[in-house]
Amino acid sequence: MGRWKVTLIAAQIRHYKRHSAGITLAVAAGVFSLLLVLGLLLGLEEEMQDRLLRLTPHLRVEGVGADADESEVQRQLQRIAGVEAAAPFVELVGAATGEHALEPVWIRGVVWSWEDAAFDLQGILQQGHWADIQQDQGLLIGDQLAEQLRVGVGGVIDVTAAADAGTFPVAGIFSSGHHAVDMSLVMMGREAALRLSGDVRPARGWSVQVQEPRRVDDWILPVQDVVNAWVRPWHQQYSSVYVIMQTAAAAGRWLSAAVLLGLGYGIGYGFYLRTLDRYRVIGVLRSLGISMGQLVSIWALQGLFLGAVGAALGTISAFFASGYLAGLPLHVPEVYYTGNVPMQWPGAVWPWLTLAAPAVAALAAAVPAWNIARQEPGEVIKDE
Amino acid sequence: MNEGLQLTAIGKRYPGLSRPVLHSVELRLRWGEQLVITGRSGSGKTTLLNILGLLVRPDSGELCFDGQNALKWKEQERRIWRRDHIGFVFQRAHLVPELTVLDNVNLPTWLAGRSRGQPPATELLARVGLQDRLFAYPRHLSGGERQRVGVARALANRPSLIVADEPTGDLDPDTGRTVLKLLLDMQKEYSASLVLASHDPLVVEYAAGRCVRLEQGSLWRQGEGEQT
Repeated sequence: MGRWKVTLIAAQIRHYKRHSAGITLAVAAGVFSLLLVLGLLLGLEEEMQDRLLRLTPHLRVEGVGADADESEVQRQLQRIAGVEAAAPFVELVGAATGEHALEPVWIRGVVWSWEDAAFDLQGILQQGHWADIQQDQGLLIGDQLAEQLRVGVGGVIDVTAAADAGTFPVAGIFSSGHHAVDMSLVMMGREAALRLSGDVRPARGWSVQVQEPRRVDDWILPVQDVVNAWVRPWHQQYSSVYVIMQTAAAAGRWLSAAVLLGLGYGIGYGFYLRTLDRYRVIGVLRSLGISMGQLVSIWALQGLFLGAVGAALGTISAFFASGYLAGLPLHVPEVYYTGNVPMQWPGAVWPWLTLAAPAVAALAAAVPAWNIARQEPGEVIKDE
Repeated sequence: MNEGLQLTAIGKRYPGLSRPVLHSVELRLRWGEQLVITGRSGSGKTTLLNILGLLVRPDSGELCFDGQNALKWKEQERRIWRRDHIGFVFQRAHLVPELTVLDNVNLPTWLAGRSRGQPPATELLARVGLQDRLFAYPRHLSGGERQRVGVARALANRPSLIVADEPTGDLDPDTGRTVLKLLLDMQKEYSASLVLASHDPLVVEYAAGRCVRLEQGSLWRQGEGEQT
């Protein structure tokens, strides 16, 4: 790029100080808002994946007969493309009693190794040893329940089901981050659960984990074909949370689109006005023999420069703002338990957005200049 | 004679006007000659100058530079010829407001992208008496000073032809006289042709070259009823 172009671009930017600052700030604001909205969307999604679905089956198969060959069922389920794990369970409701409190719970009887394969129990184990748990040495309970019952690993609690009751040692405490689960799930070996259920037939079923929980409905029919039983996706169980999340995601998408449109329009209009103000200058430059390429590149480079500065400002401020927001405590257990604002820095998107914003600005600057330059210079100059 | 420029049967009509602005205009000018075009406002002087300066295409006729019809040239060729061979002095100077005086005069050389032994901008500005205002911006100059910068810019690429459209139109008589004298002197000094349009009697008085009148879309010899 010739030095004269730099001189001309710098002179124009300097000449329109306020206008240049306005465009730069508009780009910065747009990039900032978009990154924060995207960060919130990503955070919500991660929240869903990491908390809500941490111990919730993506697909819950219910009503499987007790005489089914479990190994064969598991083999068939795992042959379905996209199914990552399948684990059988029995489930019943009951109550857990500690020294000072009684809490309603749901009891899940599991085969520990299969359950671990499906839910990575070892990954969320806060206290206790996995080896002890695997040997059916006691219960695995959530940290919120343990706190409520004031019990730790090695302590005991009474578990009462419809038909029977028993005293069990606590072998491990987990934390999934999902309040409803951490407060009310009691996991034990399947045989122990069956004993508690007595004559009452427990719910028998399978937890099926798939590759893409958001598209879980795609797997309902294939799984149904294998198990010939009722299959429920996770979002039926958490329909209210799911609706809130979907609404937030849709609102986020629309907001992003609106921000993008507003940004594009704002920058475009800003440059249009600026270029219109340079109408005669463009005519003069054309009469002096500037080529279309030279002219468009001068305007585009101005847009590119202002857009790049704005995008850098927006990205840096969004980075710090998202860090700040992610650290803000948000503890509303009545609605949905989460420790902080669900915000995640959109690592895969920000480089593209930071590059796209200057490109949009360059285009917005170049198009009106090109439009004026297409006219005959004599017509542009004479238009007093 | 092929040297110089020649207009043949040039016609130009603007949409919405019942009569053509230019009708069968004929003109011949050798390099280095001077021509003054007079006429009332709206008579088509600017249109004719814009055609000569390759800023506007006529609807009909031929415009030849050294025997080559420029109307057959592609836009790119017209632009390069304009850049390298024509200097413009506009009525309102039309300087680039964000550039300094010096950069405004440098602009044609920058656009040409090469040095062809053009006079340095500082020399030109000294010649028009603005050596002390090199880094001033156009908004800080008087009308006469702006027009002098316009004259210096028109000569920056050593053009074969200077097209000056009402160069004194916006100036008071004294300043107009100064600018006009400067323009005529520098045209001779730099051996360029000059086509100057004006309705100012002062211009006719000062210019030593041919003088023609544009009326009813055609050129007439000054003071005679004979078409050129």
